[in-house]
Amino acid sequence: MKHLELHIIQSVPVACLNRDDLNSPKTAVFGGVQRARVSSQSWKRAIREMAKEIAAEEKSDLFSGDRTRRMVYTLSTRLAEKGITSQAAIAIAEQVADVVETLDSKVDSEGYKKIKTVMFFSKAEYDAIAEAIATSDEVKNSVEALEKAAVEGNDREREKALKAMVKILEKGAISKTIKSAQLKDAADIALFGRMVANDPSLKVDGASMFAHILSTHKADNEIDFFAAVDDLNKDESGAGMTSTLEFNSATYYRFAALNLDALANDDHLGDITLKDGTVVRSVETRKQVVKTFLKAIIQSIPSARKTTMNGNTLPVYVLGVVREKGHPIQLINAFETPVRRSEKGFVTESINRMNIEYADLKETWGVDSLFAKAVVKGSLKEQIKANQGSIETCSQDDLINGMVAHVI
Amino acid sequence: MSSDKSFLALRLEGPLQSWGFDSQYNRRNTGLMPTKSAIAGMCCAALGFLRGCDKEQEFLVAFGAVRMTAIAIPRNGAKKELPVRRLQDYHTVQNTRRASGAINNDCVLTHRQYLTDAAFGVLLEGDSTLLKQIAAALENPVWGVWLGRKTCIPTAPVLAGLRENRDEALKLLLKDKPLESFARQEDVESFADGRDSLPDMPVSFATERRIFSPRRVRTLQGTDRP
Repeated sequence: MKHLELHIIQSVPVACLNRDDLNSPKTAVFGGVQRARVSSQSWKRAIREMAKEIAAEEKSDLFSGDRTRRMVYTLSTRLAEKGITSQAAIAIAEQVADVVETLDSKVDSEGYKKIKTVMFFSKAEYDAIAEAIATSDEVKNSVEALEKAAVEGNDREREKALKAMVKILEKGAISKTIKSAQLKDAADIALFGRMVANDPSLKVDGASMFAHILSTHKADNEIDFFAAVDDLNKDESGAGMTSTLEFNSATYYRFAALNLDALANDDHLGDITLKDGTVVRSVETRKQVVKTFLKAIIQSIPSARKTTMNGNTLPVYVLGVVREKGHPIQLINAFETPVRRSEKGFVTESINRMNIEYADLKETWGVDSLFAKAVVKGSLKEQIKANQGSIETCSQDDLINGMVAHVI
Repeated sequence: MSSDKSFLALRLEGPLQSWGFDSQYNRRNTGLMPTKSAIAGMCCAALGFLRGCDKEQEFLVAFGAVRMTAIAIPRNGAKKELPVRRLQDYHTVQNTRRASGAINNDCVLTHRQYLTDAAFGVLLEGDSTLLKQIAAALENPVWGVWLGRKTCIPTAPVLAGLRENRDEALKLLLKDKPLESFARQEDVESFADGRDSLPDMPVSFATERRIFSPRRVRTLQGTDRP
């Protein structure tokens, strides 16, 4: 598998990025020593949100997948745009929604029925379903029958037309339409995956891979005792309330990988050219997606407790690697023996060890790369020079563009 | 020993691993040894088989005849061997369903277990052609390879090597230490030879219809290493 990997060192001060059921920051034992931990699911969500933000800034609709229960509203609006009268459009949308999911008895504020669970569909998927329905002769006939029955007020005919519609919009047909759809803007689905319990054929295995994030050093959770002052209390001198919060500070090793072969296959973001020669999706689309994805991985951070313990930092070191074959391998073993506190802090030692681990992988197992460059916080360049090995340093843009150039 | 038999050595190293064999839904536990279903799944992913496809069916039938031995290889810390522990991850999921099919508006709590500081070697012995196919696939897999759960990314290539001789294959994993000194779990040929049955022999990985059959195993404690 041709794939790319990001290996990131990042220091986060007093924070509680990801907590367990007791409100303590998550931890794990590694190398026999307790580490601070942020679960992969937690940081992934931050990356998804950030990717959407970046795409919106760049006026790109590549990351516009939305999880919503308002499928009937969304689909019927699109059908109406295709010239189907709104009453028939709603009836069709309800049928489709009922096939993909279960319809809820509740309606939204505008009177549209909702599906029972949130579904992750992209704009292009909705368009494709609408297009397939609007252009199908069978559906057209059934819509005509439906409209006729509505005009005549004949409920029995209406029921009959609806039943015919259900047959046309069977499960297999709907999912086939979605699969053959021009999923131009389903980048987030392709990258992170989708689970549909009702119809496994709609399931997408995400092309990206993430590991739980661990601190490179021993980390203990600390307790913040706090007292809140009652501003209006003039009688007593004590605190209005007292309590405790748990937090920690850590230098983390973060890992992410992306299977470039999988991204380019038909289940993900493979090439699509229409019969008339219009290119809907190509390698250029994938490059744009990967660019946004990489940027989001580098810049995102879970927002938990951001108003009281803002842990919003940027990485100090980002190593980007592209490999022609093999499977993604993380460099966390560089820190199995925990980094010790020193005058230089944790960061310099962590970067040095990671660079050595990278070189070791190649020497021991012959794990080779097509591309390896690193972004380093300016003031650290001199300190880590000795252990840089073959890794060249560059700017964030150069790193991302360099990696994107290998997207197939 | 017939010449059409080979020995494939796999190395399972990574800070977190999870080898579930008895749990679904809210509590996803891990066993203490890699499961045959996880290894079979890893091979299918490496080969690029779609879930539940015909090729997968054929492969799983053939894989059933492959004899697996999982070996716990302790990791060395700075001063002594590292103890393997279980980590319980607290994981919340929104928008799930109730048994009745109704949407659940409450956040569901799930617990996922991982092994920390564990490392394993796996020896597969069986038909040469099949193992050669697996080895080639693991060297350059079609899809990702992970240690029981997608977030458990390995820290070294999983493929250690394919050998014609059992001892040579074991040597790739254990260096010069005897197999007897390690805790291990192996497939047995007859029911009476085994001590335990695990429901982890995959029959199908089809998403809507995952089926496993029992696998008879024997777990052996390691003698003190020299």
